[in-house]
Amino acid sequence: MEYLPGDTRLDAELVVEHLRAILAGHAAEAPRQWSPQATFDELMRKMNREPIHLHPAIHHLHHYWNMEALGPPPAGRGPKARVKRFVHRYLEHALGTYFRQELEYRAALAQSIDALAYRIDEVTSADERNLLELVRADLFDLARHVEASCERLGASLESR
Amino acid sequence: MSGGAHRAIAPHRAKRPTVALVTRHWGGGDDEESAATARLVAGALSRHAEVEVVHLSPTGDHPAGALADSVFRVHRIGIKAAMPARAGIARAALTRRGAPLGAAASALLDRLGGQAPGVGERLDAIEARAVVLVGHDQPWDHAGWAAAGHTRCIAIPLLGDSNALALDGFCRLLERCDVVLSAHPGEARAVQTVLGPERAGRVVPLDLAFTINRAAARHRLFGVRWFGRYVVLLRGFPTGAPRLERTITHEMLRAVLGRVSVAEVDVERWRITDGENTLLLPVNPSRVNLWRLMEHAVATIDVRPGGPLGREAIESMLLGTPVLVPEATAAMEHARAASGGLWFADLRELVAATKALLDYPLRNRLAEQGEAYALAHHGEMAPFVERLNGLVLG
Repeated sequence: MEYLPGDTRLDAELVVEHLRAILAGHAAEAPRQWSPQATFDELMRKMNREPIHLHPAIHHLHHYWNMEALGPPPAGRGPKARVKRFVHRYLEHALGTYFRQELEYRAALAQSIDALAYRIDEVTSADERNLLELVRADLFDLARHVEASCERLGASLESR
Repeated sequence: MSGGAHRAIAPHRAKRPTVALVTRHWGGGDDEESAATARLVAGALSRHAEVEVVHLSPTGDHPAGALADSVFRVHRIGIKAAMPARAGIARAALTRRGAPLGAAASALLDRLGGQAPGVGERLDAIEARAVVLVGHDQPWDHAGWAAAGHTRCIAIPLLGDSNALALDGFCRLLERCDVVLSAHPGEARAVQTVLGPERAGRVVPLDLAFTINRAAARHRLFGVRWFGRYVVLLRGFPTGAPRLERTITHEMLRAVLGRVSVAEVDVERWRITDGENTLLLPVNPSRVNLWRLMEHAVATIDVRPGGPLGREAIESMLLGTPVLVPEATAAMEHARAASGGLWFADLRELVAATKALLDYPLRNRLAEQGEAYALAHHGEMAPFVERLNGLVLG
């Protein structure tokens, strides 16, 4: 639309005829460059989220799982230190086994959570992405098949 | 107030005339253009008259007597033995645009459309000054009623498909009518052709007025501003109305428009997309929100199957946004009459016209012309009400 006079009414019918004349001069096909990505955009974007094994809570777990419950026996020579050592020895005797089991349990828990996190990351970043790509490719094929069928149908109707 | 009981004195009020409105299209919402039109017309008439609606209901028998619906009294009469699916197929098979239908074919279509017995008697009982027939589906003995009485008769045919004009019975009814109100210029031309030159003057534009909430429309929908310039793609609106089933258009438009975004209205799923991002618009799929979307758009591209009125095209032009609509629809007739938009016959033309509308001088000129036309014909409710009452009451 290179020129539009300012003080006269523009006739839309003339514009449509003008466009049709331009199209009649070009044998180009209707545009076909489309992709069904709008359906998948959001899903694919979700695929790109941060891996769960980088979550701060898992870092915290790795950092603090190995806590000794009682620590080494208190040092010193005075009566206060002697009392502390006595209490330590008493606690070690009474609860030491439980504390060691608790530590082993925490270690196993951290290892399990770690393994699960890595497995989840593998699944989300690979398996689901592959699945989506497959579905998307199927949709492309389906769309091409439908369009080709429509065109064949149109051609056969025109030929009659 | 000094002593004694206060007695309210009823103001003297002249008896208002009664208008009967016969239609198949009567519902609570505005899901269907024809139903919305019937209700708007009835509402406008109720300004100066008592409105009795004779609703030809497809759901069988109804109790005698009238029900109150807002300011209207509604008489429901069931349509018996209707076979709408077969009637639609038979009509599509038997009718060709502009070609008259034979007597046997007309009789067949009448039979498939069913019959609503007792409409004439009900109209006689109502004793209306005028009878308004809304919609071309009038499965009752209107020929007998028209021959017997001298009641003023007004038709609003709402021809979504001008094939209805091939039916003999309906054409005879139009000939009997004192006024035929056409929903758009194309419908007016078609009815004038059927009525012939001596009766062509009876065809008058309906020019239905639509109220737009401009204050609300000024506010963009949340999130839309991040997508820059955009076109509105109307695939399905409102809920329950016919929608375009093919899904190619949104993606194709996005591919060919380059940096212009596409905001798609697909019944309850509204989304806007540029080349990379898609935002699902978290909005109620209401008409006000559609106005908010259309007001700020480069153009409104309406790809839905054509309705009898082209309401959204008119509303878009009222909001100063040019339209791009399918050929041979009511919306196209408005766009052509207004020179307020373009139209297309196929996908190639849709793309070419969309690209043309991205040209600002052309787009702005069409927008100005469309807005001027829409404001003059569909923008003011008060003149429409007075004009319609004048036409109906005589």
